[in-house]
Amino acid sequence: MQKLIVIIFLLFFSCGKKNNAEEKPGILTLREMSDLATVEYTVTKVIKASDNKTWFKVGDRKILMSCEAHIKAGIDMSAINKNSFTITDKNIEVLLPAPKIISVSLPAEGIKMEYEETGIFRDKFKSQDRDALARQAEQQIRNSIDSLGILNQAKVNTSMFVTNFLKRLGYQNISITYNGSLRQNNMQ
Amino acid sequence: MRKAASIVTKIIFAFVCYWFLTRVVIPYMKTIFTSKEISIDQTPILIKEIKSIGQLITYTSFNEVVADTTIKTKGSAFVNTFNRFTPVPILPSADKQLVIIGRGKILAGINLSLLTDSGVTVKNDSVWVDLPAVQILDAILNPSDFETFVEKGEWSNNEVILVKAKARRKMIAHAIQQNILPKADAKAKMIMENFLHNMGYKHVEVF
Repeated sequence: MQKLIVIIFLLFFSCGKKNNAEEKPGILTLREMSDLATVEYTVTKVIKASDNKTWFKVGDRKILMSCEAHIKAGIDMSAINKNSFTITDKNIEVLLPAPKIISVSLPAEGIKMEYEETGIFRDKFKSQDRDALARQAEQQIRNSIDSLGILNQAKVNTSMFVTNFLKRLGYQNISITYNGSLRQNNMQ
Repeated sequence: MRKAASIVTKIIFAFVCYWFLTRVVIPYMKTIFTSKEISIDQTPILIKEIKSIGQLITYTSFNEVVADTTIKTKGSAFVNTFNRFTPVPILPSADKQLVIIGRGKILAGINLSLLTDSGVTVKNDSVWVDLPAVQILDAILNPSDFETFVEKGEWSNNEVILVKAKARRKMIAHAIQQNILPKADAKAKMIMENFLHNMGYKHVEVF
């Protein structure tokens, strides 16, 4: 009887799920793009953390860093086609694609150590630990992009940019509209 | 019959024990001596600068590079001297070593804000555009793009920045080796030509 129970136990243990979740490497290559970046926001953020939640580690660690991020926004030029233009003499109406975020960059030089406090029984923050904190800051910045109003600013700047270019081509009355929005920027 | 009932009871008991062990006891034991992840506080994001730009990004190179640096410490000299007098190195190296893997992207294209009035010439339904030179517009290596492979010794933030700058330079060099600049130039010309053709110009020359 005892043998039977042992066998059942072994069977249960041997049927455990194997974790085969391997990270697939991304495709590393050259890729064509057609993005026109018209606005760049430089934002800053304080990275504040305390390492005092692990019960078996004696003493605390505190760190304060600051980081700077550059966010670019603009439009995808590949979405512009013949139907995007309505031309009458020197008047032109342009329908542009809705603006989008083109890139978010947190350069290493922009991440600065401001303050660090380590208890006598604790190790200092390693580069790996600091990177993990900066990664969280990067994620918080990405999550807050919508609230920065960068897409609206991208519309304004793109309108200005395209207007200036069209003026060079000799157009006088220029009207710019964006796909998916009723907002119109008339630049004359 | 009673024997069979007893066996079934024991099997059920064994199953309950197994469930309790695997679902409650073992997970708890596993986490009890695991360090808690450090979370950063929610702090406000401040807008430092809003800049008008006009960058036509036409090519991106996604790449992975390894950057490593070894720095000699005060103890390195002693360890090296000691190991020189022994038939085989006994003491482990006291050098600081950092090996990082960076997976980022290089953006190439044209800075259209450098386009001058004299760079655009229009005559009836013909247009000539002289585009500014193609360049590397950005090299993006974010904290989430880095993986620390080896970290021996204490590394200050400034020392790590130098290693990451090395990774950045490697990525740019690799992108240039991949001929990103001529490709970005050709693509920029094509985009501008299409844009002008779509506007109705019959003869378009972009150079």
